[in-house]
Amino acid sequence: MMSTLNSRRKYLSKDLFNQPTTIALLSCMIIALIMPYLLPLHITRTFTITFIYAILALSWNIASGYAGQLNLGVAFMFGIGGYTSAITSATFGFPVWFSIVIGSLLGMISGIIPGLISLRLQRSYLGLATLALPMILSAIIVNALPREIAGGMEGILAPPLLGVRDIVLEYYVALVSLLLSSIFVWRIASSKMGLFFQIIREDEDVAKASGINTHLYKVLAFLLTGLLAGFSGSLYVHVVRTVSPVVTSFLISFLPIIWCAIGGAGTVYGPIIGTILLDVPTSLARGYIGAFAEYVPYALLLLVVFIPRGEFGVGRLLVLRLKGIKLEHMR
Amino acid sequence: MILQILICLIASSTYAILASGFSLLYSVGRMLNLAYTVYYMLGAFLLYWLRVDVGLPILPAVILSILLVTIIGTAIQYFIQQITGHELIMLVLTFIIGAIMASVISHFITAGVLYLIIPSVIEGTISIMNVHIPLQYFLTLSAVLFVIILFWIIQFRTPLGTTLRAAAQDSEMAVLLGINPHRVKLYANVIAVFLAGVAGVVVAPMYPWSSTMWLHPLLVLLAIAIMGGLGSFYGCIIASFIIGFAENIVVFLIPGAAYLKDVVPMLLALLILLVRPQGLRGVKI
Repeated sequence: MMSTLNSRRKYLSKDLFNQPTTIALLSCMIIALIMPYLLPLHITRTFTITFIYAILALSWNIASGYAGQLNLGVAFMFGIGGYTSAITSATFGFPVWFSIVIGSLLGMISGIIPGLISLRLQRSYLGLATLALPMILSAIIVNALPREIAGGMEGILAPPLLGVRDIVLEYYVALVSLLLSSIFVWRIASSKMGLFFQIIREDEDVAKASGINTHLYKVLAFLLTGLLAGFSGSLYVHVVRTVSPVVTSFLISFLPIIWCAIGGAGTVYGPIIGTILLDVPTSLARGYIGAFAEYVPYALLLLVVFIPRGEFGVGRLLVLRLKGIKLEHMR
Repeated sequence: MILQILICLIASSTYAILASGFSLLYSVGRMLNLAYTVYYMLGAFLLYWLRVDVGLPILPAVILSILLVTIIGTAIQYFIQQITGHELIMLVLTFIIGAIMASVISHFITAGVLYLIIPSVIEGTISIMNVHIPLQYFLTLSAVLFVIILFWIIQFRTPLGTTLRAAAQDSEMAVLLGINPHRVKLYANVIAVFLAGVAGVVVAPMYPWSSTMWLHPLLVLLAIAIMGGLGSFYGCIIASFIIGFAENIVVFLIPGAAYLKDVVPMLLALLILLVRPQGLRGVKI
């Protein structure tokens, strides 16, 4: 048990910097850096939003990919982060960076709710309970918050991310945020905490028997998910410049699952690869197919049928190929 | 007061019907089918379509819409049953199928209309202790109660019900005893979809129809599943009556808080879980 986990941990941390992977990583970074100068503005903007979604996918990955808790309601944390950030900056006039910090922190605090639910419910039942959270949140936002603050069904306008409208600069902010978030997740994954998360995922009873405080670590996993999801929600709101109950829709909860599953859940690079592979083509295609654009995310979600084991994705296969590891050695 | 109790009773028994269908699907097919409440919405929609757009009289419209829901729903169920794999896949996929069906239904005929008012089956009111109560409420209540009793009879007093319960308790043993598992699944699907369709058709005239109509019953079903009401007939009934009464009483007591209807079921389920970690019936499902 421990030996396989240790070896997997080694794959994650040390082997990430063997030669082919480093070259791939560096070339990706260079492409990402020069991209805004090569591509038209609307594609740059698509990538900005995709990077923010990638942060969301990374956040789902912590509690569900690493710690194995079935979470179908990441839109709950995303929505709380987004609404908090928009309301604090638009209504109370805080600077945008400060409201993003508040949004992330409130997202983290809201992670306590699914975290506590995960102590009592497991597997499918946890999924059912977390599925209800965003629906409840949108009912409360639309009806209970005053219209002049939260805007009801129409939502409110949020101030732009950098005070002025600058697509290229926003792209770089999103890129840097994605980089920082993935380093954050990578540090967690290669720490003792990440190892504990994975033990809880593999077998919770074994984790308990080996003296891990599973309750604490499950809540911690949801707190970290909430922190990153709140952060991506706040960024999203200021890039799109409006916030409405759409940010709590089930698509926001489900798409990260597909992105992670396609890219490979339980890894750092998987969610990022999955998001870029799936979200960029669909966002670009949406402009050309008119009336059917509404069904594109649904069609995307149907890809879930092709996920082999629910957590082993295309992205991970790609990276393993780069590292020269055969699939049989992995499991 | 009478009106309030009547509304509570109707809501609870509607949830009871839906929950028994959902639980039948769960116990026979081992699948939490989140698309289930769309059949309820489809029933209501078909009743509107047949009554208003096609212009059929009441009785044929009701019978035809129940029949159509059963046929369409069983066909869709056939495909949903083929899904196997990780439970995450099942939950996501069934919810997505539900969302697709709901958006197709609302695109199909009601272009640009947010709410439809479905005409009552019976017009007129009756006055009890100076409260005017629409006759429709009594009709709905009696129909809903009739369906619950019918389902009870089917499940506990007929050979078909014995077969269904046997397959639910131990499918391998049921196969050894000569029960065809595919046929049992088919029967379970037909009965479950029929129950949802009846609930939709009967309740439809009481609420305005909207494209998000399936979400609230779904929330209630999720809460019932978490409270531990799935898998047994009485568990479903108890859990649905708790939720039906609680949410309506909250709405009556707090003015301007109709949105709490969406919040109460899950909150109640989590509270019950806090007090009784083993669920309502004390049996892990």
